[in-house]
Amino acid sequence: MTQQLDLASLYRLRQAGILPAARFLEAARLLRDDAFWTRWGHHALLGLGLAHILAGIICFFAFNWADMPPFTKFVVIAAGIVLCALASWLIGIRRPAGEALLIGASVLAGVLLAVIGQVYQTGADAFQLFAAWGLVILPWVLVSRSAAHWAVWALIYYLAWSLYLAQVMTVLNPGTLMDLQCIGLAALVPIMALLLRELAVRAAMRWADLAWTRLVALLMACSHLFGMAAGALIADVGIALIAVAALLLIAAMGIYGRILPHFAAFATACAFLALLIAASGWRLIALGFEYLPLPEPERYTLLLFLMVLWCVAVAFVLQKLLRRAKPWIDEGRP
Amino acid sequence: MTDVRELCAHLALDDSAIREALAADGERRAQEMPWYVKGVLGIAAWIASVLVVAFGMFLAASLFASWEDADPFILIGLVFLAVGIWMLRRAKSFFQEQLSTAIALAGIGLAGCAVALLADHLTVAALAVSGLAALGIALTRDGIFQALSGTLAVSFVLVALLDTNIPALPLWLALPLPTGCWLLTSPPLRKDLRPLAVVLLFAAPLALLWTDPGLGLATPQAQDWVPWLARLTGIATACYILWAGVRPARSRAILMVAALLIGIVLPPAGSAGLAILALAFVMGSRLLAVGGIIVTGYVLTAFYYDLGTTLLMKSGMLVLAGCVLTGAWFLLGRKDGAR
Repeated sequence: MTQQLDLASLYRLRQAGILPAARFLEAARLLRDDAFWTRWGHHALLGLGLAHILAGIICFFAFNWADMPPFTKFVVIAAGIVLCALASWLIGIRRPAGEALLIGASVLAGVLLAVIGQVYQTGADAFQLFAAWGLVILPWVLVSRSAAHWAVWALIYYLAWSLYLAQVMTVLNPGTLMDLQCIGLAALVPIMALLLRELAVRAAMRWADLAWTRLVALLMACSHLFGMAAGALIADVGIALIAVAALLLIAAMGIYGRILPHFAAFATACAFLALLIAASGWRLIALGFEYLPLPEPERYTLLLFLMVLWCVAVAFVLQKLLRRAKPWIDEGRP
Repeated sequence: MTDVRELCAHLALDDSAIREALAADGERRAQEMPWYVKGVLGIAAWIASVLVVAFGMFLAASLFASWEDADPFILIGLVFLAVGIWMLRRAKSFFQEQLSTAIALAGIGLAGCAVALLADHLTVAALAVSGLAALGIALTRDGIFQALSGTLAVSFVLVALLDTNIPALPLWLALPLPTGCWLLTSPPLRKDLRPLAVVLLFAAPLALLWTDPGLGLATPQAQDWVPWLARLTGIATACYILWAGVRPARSRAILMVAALLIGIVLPPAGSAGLAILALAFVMGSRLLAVGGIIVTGYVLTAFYYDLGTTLLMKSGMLVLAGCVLTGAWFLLGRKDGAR
């Protein structure tokens, strides 16, 4: 039987007194994947060289930018878009370099729209720029069949939607409740992205079947839901929002625990729900203490003691739940 | 990747002793929870520890009835440290480990701050914190506690050094680099000091960047020989690592000359970043490689940003340096291809 070694096992051998200190570096050299590190050195050198050249070009344009006529600015950026798209087509949009170049073209399209907006001041809201940007690059996103490109597109619409909520909805209906609802509503884009991702995977689009696409969208959605609920707890308004957030988190736990078993996603939803339960408990304890006739230091001491107990209890239950769920969810995975 | 048999054959080691030592480690690793679950439990533990520390402070306030004197805080800090270390030695889950780590660290920090207030001197506080951190590291085996208490002690020492404003400051700031390197390449028997070594390794470039983020040569302090000595410390460390770890001799010579030339051009923090990259390359550590890239990238950005020339001049320099680097990549690639 052959047992593979890594750097951590060498340290273990050294601690056990099996490997002498003088021979440690020699042993590390034996373990090192020479081909990988030679390739890494080459790539680092190329990356550093290209980053220098790119930064030099950016500095050159930054130096001359203010003196350029508007049309020249448009031409420079448009040329960048055309070059990126052309190079991507020549290399092949399925290859990593082609994929990166097409994403670069999409980003430059946004820069072009921003510069047009800067030159011809239209007075439009910022969310319109992002919405237009997303619309313009949609054909590229559709043909790219790249999870990273879709993620950039979803991020653009997330920004557009968040800006719409902040610049229009909260201005039309000011108030704490609306602010909190907007935090929650901003979760709609990541939830939609998650839904589309799961449908794409179900439709056998293998490029979408990457764990990070699910986790990033879920993390964003959960953060917004928790933010909304925590805000409601602190401001003492919209108790229903807490229930909505809790129900959605439980639903996510159910989906990633049973229907689409994925332990990391299940743990994410679980962690946010635990945080919400802990925060709700602390709020209730603090509310209860407002009516307790005790002098200041003793009151806070008792309050903190109960909060510690509650926190440890929630963490204990969370740990037990995750420990029990892991083998069960891992077994259910296709 | 080498297996046990190959390693034993090369280094003439006892095969069965190695298998026995690694078997227990394999079992422990198999039972570990994934990193993200540990992250969640760690966050919960740290929130709980904040509440525990606040609870302890209020309890002490109701006992001592005074927030004015520093003396009780030394006692409270020591109690926290003792409780934290006691819990850490008995911890059975990741949550318990993190909770006790946070309590022990709060104890070290509290005692250090109280000593600083009492003695009215940061050097005394730095010595106290370093002593307590060393005690904690000696009594426990937890890597996260070791890294965090090491960071706390190094931070106190750096602040004390900056406060005293000694003339050879950059050299003092560069010294943790060879120490960290030595701990990683010649690890001590019985105790795993890797987390502390990594802290020392990164403390040097970060401290140098903090005190002198730019070119180094343009500042009045840099007219002195001290920054050059700090720079040479980084270059010497990088060259030693390459000398000890790279074979064949021709590649070793090329890399050492490259490290020397780049180290001379870059500010002192840059040569420290270079030493980290050399260590990552020689030991095959991806974690160190990522850290080294971040440090070196930041040093390069600060270097060009603080150059004190026009954007046009910077643009020319950047393109020229880029062409040299890309040319080196092309030549090395062609040579490897021919081989």
